[in-house]
Amino acid sequence: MKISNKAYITSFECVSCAGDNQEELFDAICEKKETITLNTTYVPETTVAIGEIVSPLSFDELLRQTCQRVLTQSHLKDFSNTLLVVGSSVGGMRQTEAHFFHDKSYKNINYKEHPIDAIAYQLKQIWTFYDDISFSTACTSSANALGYAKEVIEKGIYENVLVVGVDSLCHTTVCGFRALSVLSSTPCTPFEKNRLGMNVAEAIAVLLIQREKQANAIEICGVGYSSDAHHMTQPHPEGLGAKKAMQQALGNAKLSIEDIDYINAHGTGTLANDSAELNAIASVFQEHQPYVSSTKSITGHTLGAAGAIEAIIASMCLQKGVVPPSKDIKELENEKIRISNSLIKKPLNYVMSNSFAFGGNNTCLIFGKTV
Amino acid sequence: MTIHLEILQSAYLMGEQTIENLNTKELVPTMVFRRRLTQASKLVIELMHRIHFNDNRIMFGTAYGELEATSKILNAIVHSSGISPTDFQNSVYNTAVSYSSILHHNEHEIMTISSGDETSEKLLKLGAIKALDGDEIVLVATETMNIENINQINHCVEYLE
Repeated sequence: MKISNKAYITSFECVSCAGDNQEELFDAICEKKETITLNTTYVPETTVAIGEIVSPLSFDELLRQTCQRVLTQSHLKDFSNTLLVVGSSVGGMRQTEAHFFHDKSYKNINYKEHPIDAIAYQLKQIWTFYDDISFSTACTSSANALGYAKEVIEKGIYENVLVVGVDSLCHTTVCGFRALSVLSSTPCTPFEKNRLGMNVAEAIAVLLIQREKQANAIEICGVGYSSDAHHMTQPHPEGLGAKKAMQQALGNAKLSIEDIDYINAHGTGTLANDSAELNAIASVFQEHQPYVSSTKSITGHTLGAAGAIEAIIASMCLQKGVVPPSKDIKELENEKIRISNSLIKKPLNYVMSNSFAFGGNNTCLIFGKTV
Repeated sequence: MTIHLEILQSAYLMGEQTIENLNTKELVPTMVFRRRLTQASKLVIELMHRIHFNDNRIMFGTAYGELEATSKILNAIVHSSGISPTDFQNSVYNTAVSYSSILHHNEHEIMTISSGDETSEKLLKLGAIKALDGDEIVLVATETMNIENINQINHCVEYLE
């Protein structure tokens, strides 16, 4: 395949527990704001810390408005020449739960509004897209959507790709992670030695990826994929799959370890993930350790939306020349790692973003500043 | 753009209710591992065996994912009976190919897409685009809808698996 176009992130918008837009999110990260809330409604007689969007608007309306804001920022008049790529872990589960918990029956569930495709189905009621596809690989869903966006532009298949990373809170995920005993009852502290677990969260993150470069665009330089082939929910303790994904992304981007300035880690705050990821980073980068932090202490773990919202954070780090700080780390899990504990202002050229998921699905993306 | 691809091997399984006579016991000798498999995982493992490909990139498609694990979770929440950790880990859409990758020590890229009624068509498009990289790729799609009370919502699908 000889065509080798570049893929640029030309506009983006997001909504999360850390704010109604990406500027509020980035401020919350830089100022280490308290964004995670305590909840007693999802798990009976138990307090869990979650990342919940607070808005008078419905989640569906927020999704529509977020996509509309990206369209308004772009030079596109509509999405008719755009591929829609959705990344989601739960799709329409919130709607399914509402019907099933009320009726104790499946009879009123609309089969188009239940599965992962419910997101694309909803968006296609509003806009016409050239085509669409939805990825669902648990917590790597929207990272894989972004990787695919890069691939189809690189190969000359499409010129415009709208990536929508979205997951809403629902009982299935909150209670499910509780069943796995990985939920924290306090805001999570990724990479802290005495961390207590993760915070399930919700988010909408929308990015327009284009072949044509725009002012201040961010390039998706590299993507690496791998499978742990180890365990359904536990990463390989040495992070072998994560290491392979990072090395593949570096190779795909034709970059060396010295080129990476900052890693926005997967960093969920669980014992198994953080330990494995730091082992992998230490092994890949050897004596050239870049700064590392996890912004999930502010966003929570937004599951299928995580890759997309963290791509927005990575893009803003490059645009603003900022290494975001970690939050509430007192004793570091792995002393070989160069954790950014306070905000660092410096020009950045390349940022790596890790996403890992159930089934040992690993995706690493590299973003680069354009001149 | 026109993409010319060659189909190297193919296999399929269908059942009005459930697909039986699978070789899961022989293909997955470790009982602890076998007992955790979902029906879709068993089907993927069976199909991979039939086409003799198990160390390639895999593109997987499913419109509704793991309905049995999902329904068990929903019922557990409704009846306040506690969610099984195995049901939760088995409820993600990439469950079936993940078990296959663990069984075959397949460390390659493994994707899962879900695009409703157009899942198979879009899986073919995804496979065609990925195959431009020049390797041999496995495309596999499953649906496993044979769950209790599926008739409350299913009024048209004849083959549940």
